[in-house]
Amino acid sequence: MPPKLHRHAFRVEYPGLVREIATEVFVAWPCRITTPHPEPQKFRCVWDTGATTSAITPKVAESLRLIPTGKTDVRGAHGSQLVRTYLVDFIFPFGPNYHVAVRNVKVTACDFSANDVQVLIGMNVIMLGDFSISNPKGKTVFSFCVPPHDNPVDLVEKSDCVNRRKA
Amino acid sequence: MPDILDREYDYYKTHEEELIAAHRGRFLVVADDQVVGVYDDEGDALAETVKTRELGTFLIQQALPSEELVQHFYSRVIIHAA
Repeated sequence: MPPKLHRHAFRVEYPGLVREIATEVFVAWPCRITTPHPEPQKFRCVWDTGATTSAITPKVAESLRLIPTGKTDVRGAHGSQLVRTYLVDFIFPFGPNYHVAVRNVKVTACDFSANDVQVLIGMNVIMLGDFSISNPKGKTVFSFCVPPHDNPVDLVEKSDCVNRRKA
Repeated sequence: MPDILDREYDYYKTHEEELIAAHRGRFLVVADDQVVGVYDDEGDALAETVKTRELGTFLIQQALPSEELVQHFYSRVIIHAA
């Protein structure tokens, strides 16, 4: 029997309905790099299913003194460009003693149109787990879990069940 | 002015077809105008290569056609030059 995987999950409950899923993230050098490097730093991030890959602003790269490991073509609404890529660890802090880490994430260096957002969490992270947004009673609830569960979130089944109960 | 890793990226682009044919999907480490390592995992490529080479002196490139590697941002990104 395969070993049972331990899931790491977090949930964010917003005070109302939100138009973007924003959280905090520590950006760090990959933990397997042992040469001296800056400590992880915390930034505001937005979870973006419209981004195939995660991204950081050049300011984040500069602040952490990241060194590029690759280059890639990026296409967006403003055109295309060859940009630097970096490997980083993302650490999502939730509570004083709990965090969820995603290791060795490839990120591109891009500018964003929102000044207060320094990191985009793209599909290369989202696809590693289960990602859920719900809006019960006028409040947005966001939840993420890695690795993903075997049984997917099924809103059709849930709705059918609730509808049958009401009938 | 040349940017960091330009030379290594140019080497990959020049030999792209043959490298994809030989190592499709794997992660290549390019330095000194040659492939110095081939890995299944990008994190392994980085962790192993930094044992012998300084960061910034090598490129990690997945051997896949360009169209499969292009990154799309449908919303808020303003493209920033390398």
